Amino acid sequence: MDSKLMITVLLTAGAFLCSAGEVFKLDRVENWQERSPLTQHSQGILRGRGRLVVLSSEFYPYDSKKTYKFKGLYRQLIGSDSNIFRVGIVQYDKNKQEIEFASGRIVPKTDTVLIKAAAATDTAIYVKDASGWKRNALAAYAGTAKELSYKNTITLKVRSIEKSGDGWKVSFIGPINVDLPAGTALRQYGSGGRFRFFGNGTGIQVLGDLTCTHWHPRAKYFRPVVLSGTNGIKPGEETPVFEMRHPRIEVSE
Amino acid sequence: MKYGKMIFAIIFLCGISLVNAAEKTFPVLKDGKTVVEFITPKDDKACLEAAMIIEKYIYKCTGNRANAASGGAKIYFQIEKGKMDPEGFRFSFPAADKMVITGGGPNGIKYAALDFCERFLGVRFLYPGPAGEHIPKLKNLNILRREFSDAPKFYTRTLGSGNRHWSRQRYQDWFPLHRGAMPYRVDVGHNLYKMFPPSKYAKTNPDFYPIINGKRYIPRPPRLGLHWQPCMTNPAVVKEAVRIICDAFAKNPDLRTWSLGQNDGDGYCECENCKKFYPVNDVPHRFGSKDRSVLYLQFCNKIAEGVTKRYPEATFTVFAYNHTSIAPKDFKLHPSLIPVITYDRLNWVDPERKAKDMIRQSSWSAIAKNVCWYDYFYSNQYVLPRVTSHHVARQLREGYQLRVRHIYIEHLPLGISGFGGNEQIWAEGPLAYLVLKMLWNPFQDEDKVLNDWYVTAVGPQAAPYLKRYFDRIEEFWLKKMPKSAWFKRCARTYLVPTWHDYLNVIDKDFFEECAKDLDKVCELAPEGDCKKRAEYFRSAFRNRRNRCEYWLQNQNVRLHSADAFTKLFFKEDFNKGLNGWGIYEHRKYPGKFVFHTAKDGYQNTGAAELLCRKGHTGGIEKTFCITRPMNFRIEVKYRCVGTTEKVIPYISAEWCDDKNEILHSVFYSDIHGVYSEDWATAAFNFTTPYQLPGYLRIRLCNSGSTKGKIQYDDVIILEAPKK
Repeated sequence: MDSKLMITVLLTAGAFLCSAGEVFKLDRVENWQERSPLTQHSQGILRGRGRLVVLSSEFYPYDSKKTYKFKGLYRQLIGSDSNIFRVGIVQYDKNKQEIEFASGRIVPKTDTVLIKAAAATDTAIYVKDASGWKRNALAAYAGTAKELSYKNTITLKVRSIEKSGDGWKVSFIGPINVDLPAGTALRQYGSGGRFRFFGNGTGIQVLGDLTCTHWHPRAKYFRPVVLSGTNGIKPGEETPVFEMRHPRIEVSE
Repeated sequence: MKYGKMIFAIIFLCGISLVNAAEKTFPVLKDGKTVVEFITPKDDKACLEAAMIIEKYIYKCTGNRANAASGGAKIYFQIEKGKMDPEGFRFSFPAADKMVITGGGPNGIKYAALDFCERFLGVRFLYPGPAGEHIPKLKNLNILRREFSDAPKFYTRTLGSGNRHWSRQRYQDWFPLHRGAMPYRVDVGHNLYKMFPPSKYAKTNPDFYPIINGKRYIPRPPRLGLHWQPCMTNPAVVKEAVRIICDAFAKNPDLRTWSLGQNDGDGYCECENCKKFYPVNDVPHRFGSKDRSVLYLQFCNKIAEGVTKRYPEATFTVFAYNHTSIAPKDFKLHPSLIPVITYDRLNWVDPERKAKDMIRQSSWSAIAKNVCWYDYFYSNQYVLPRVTSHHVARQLREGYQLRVRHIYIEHLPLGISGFGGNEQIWAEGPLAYLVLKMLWNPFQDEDKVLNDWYVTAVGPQAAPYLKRYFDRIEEFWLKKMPKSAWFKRCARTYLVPTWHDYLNVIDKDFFEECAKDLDKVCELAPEGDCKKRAEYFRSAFRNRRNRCEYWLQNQNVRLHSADAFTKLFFKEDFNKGLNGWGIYEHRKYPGKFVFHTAKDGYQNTGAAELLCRKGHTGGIEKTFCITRPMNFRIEVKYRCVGTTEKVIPYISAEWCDDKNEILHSVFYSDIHGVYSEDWATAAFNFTTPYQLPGYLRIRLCNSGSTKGKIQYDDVIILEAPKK
């Protein structure tokens, strides 16, 4: 083959490969958690009956410069009009710890300060008073109490809260990922949960082409999640059967 | 022998026919189960949703989910953009075991699915709500393999009910089942105030706003969308409009229509450049407004020219309404502009009004490529259901011949808070069903559509009586109502539904005859859904009858002599202040407008004072709990101080139910005072509604003047027993 033609062909192929985004396929049972209620209905089509909360089996990398979209179609079979199904993701930090999102609801009597500096790699913090703290709430931090907001939180679940010397020790399920000097103001906010849903469907609605948004600044990984049958159904309705047709995540620049 | 051969030939021919018939059908259901598989393209949401519509109704008809094994007959769903009308569809049968449902776009494939349900399954969506759905029970279904295609004649088919609100949801979920949709092929609505909000332009571009009475008018809340128009000869306004529209089109490749509908009301610019486009003889036209059509349309032409340079396929709607009702003669309208002609075409029952409207219609058709009709039903505000099915059917056919291709009707059948409760009673029967069908195809036989509705709703034996009931109502609107003083008074863009005096020409035995029809319907409707519907229609009629009879009774009480009211119910002299009277405003204005004077009232005593402001309607109110039936008379002293002669002092009595929810406008009474600088008395009588206990709300209000004040004093409410 003429060398000029060869170079042109190679360059074109290269450009094509560079512009084509990644695709994370989710259309097989193995792409989802073990022992999930999902079954392979046919090629590329999965179904799950009854109550299901299923995450992907893999962690997928997140790059804040890219766009992530749920492609394929998501629906439930006819007969369960009152059921709501949802499609979304769970986000993880660099240590693959789940990121919990805070709600705007302040947990009363949780304002306190750090009595000892904490490093990003620490899994526990020491505060003046955590007597009102809850394990299912999230810790927000700021320079002063006035600046506290649910937008800046340690995005990890609390493992334990215990008295320690003159103060209290609050332990988390993983490293806190942020350096905090002594005197940092802290307060708890209610948890907004770990799921970020991009589509809710009911009745004969079909979801498709959903863009993943609301990424946490510390997100480094994510796992798709689907929910169905969690709200109960009305008498006379069928047990919901959730279906995914060629589900996948498409990544683009 | 001869007979034997003949019998053999007959049997042979019958056999061939049966074989042919079997070959010409496509199997869908057998013994209550689906025997056909639905195939949709990968990732095609619209096709899958269309398939689910059919699956849903098969499930309702059989009790079984569509779950046929592969290998048998198949129905394929596909969209072919650009090859047919985007809302059109086609059913084809390329093979004995293959049916293809094709839509011209996402709406087309959805309508195909709905048509499948109606045409082949026999489903009917009679009226909003679960009781209005007719679901036949099916065991077997074989479709004749006959190609069929369809597309709408009117491209916009909107029977609007207003913004999303819980009280309207049922209706808003229902009318898309009849291929109605909010406008998307053309955008319709008052839009100039949205394009030029003062919050964005008032400081940087005050010249965008009109000169009125020699001064620049910058709109302020609460009238941001009313009674002003941008300066329509300012080239910067045109340039900015073109930029706004082109930016919007660039962001959304599916958007290629825009409304240039002017703001409601008046407020046209009076600068020298704009005045050049005023008519030489600048007097109100037959709709009562001064003509600003040329000014407005030259503005819209320039915008259209600018946008279509970049987007030649763009379309724009312009309002033929109020000050721009009349088409200017010999005007060269840009071909992308679609006039929206607003008129309540029930007016057409009067030949003279129709003739005038047809002149207007023809004048627009002469300058525009095609036209949109904007009409008004206001169903829920009429106390007698405004059923005019045949009239609307004829009108739509005529409109089509006049190149009308878009229809927007303010229907308002359910809900609408603020106009008498969030009504959920469907009293107008087949009207919306028929109109939506005729909007799809105005050349079908409306009687056939109506008969199908009646029979499906209540069964074949009861259907003729239900038909007679609705025909009776229609006859009133088309034959009796035009003779009423109400109709003569309503010589305007839309008839006024809250003036109920059309009831004055109703026949004495009208309600009795209707009641007999509906009793017969209930008697003859078969048990089950038909009987439930029959009883629902009868209950809806009784509700309306009660209201109509209340109104007539209230009119009668209004004529009672003052002497009949002897017992004092309530008295207020305002000598000790406003005494717990609350403040009422039709729209919230900044600043205080209610005051008290200690010595300037009637006979130099205390009085309430209401400041008058431009465009403001407000007053004071007091509420009373009423538990027993009675008649009332209210007398109030008032005078106008420094107001214009256009001032309207008025006293009103409205009713709320026991939960303090306001009742329908039929229960409202009021009296308008006349301009008087001296103390005058306004008085009227009214009666309690049939739903008691309830709340009576009395209001003393002002409206109409831009200056001065109204003083109110010596409120007396007397009662008399109700006979």
